[in-house]
Amino acid sequence: MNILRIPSRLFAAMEQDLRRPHAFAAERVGFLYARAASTAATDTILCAIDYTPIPDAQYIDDPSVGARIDAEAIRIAFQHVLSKKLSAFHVHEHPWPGHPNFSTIDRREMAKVMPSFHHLCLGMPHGAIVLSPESARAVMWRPGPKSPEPVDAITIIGSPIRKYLYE
Amino acid sequence: MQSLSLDRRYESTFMNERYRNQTFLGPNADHQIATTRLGIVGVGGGGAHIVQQTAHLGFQNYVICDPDVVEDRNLNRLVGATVSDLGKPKISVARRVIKGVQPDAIIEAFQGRWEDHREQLATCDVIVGGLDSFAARRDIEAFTRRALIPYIDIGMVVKTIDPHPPRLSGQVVLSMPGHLCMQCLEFLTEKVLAEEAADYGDAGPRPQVVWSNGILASAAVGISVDLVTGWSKSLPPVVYLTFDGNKGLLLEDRRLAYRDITRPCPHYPLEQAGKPQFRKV
Repeated sequence: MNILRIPSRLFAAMEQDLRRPHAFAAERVGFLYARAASTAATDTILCAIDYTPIPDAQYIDDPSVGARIDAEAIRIAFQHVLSKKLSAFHVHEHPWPGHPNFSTIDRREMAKVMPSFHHLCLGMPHGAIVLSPESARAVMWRPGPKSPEPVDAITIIGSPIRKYLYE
Repeated sequence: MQSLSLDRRYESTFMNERYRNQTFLGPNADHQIATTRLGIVGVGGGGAHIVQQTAHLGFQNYVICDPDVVEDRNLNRLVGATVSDLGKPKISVARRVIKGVQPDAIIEAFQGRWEDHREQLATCDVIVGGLDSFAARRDIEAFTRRALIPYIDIGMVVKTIDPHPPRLSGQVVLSMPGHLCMQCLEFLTEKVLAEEAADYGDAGPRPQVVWSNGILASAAVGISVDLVTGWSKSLPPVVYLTFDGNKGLLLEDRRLAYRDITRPCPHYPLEQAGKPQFRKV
C-alpha cells in the first residue's frame, strides 16, 4: 500500500497557488516534497512537508502543452531533493470536475525526469500528482522499475480527513 | 497488503439497511467509515468500548495493540469480556467483539507494546489511545505527529485527598498534526511527567470504572466518526474535553477559550514529519 499524507493547510496553499492564472500557461505546476514515515516491504507512507510553486518567469511559452517549465525550475527541485533527501511530486490541476487522470503527455514527460530524481536521492520514490476540484490522484516511480505505481490513497490531514483512493 | 477498495459486499441491501439509522452522517458515510483504517492502542477499559462502538458503526479495518491478558479485576469494566476469557489476551476479546458484528472485518491484532508495531500503526488513518501513563501518551503523540496521523487520547484518573470524597476526572483530546499538541494544551507538562517518573514503582492498580470509561470512549468515537465523515461540519482541529466525573459533565476545557487554536504547534513542526533522519553538520 502506498499512502501520501498532506496536511490540510499545505494542501490548501498548494491548491490556491495552482489556481492562479498565468500569463500564457494553461496550467500552473509546482513541486510537493515529502519524507517517508514508513518504507516497510509492503507499505510506503509519505508525509508531505513542503510545497514550492514555480515562479512565473520559469514557464516556457509552449501552446502544445498545458505548462512547460524551464531548466532552472527543474534544477531548483533537484537541489531541494538532494539537500533535504526528500521525495518530490510534480503537481498540477485539471479544472474540470470528476476524478483526474494523467494525460499521455503527463506520463511521458514525468518518465523522462524521474531517473534524474532517483539519481539524486537513492531509495526515495518520486512522482506526480494531478488534482481536480474534488479529487486527487498520484503515481510514483521507485528507483529501477520503469513503470509507475499508483499511490493507493492521498489523505488530506485535517478536520475532516479527506481521503482520495486510487480507482 | 490491505486493500482500500470498498468490498462489493458492503453495497448490499442488507448492509445499507443496517445503517439506515445513521444516514444523517452523510450519503458517503458508510463508505468513508468502512474504508478507514482505525488504530486502537490499548483495548482495556477505555479501548474495549471503542472496539465495541466502532464495530457497530461499521468500521472494517483495524490495527489493535495491547500486551495484557484478561484478569478477574478487569471484569469490572472490560466490555465484551467474560469469565471464560480469564488468562486470554485482551486482543482476543476485541477481535471477537468486532467479528461478532463485522464478520468480514480486517483485523491486525498484536499482543504486545504498540512500539513494537509502528510499521502497522503507521498505515492507520486515525489512532485512538487509552494508555496508562503520561509518558506513553507523549511517546504515541510523537509517533502520530511524525506519521501525520490524527490521534485521539482518552483517560481517567481518581484522586483522593482526605478528608474529601474522591475526585473522578478524565480527558478526551484530539491531537491533529500541524495543530496544538498535548503539550501546547498543557495536558502534558514536564511537571506531570516528572511526578509520574518519581512515582514509578509506587503506583498500585489505577482506579477505573466502566461508566466513566464509557463516557470518554463514546466521545472519542464520536470525534472519530466526525473526523472521517465530516457530518457535523463543525469539528475543530483541536478538541480538549475535560471530564468531571463527580458531576457527570464532559465539557470543553476552559483554557481552550484562551488559546489560539489556529496557530501551528511549535513542538512538532511539519518539517520534522517522517522518520527521524541524521544530518551531517
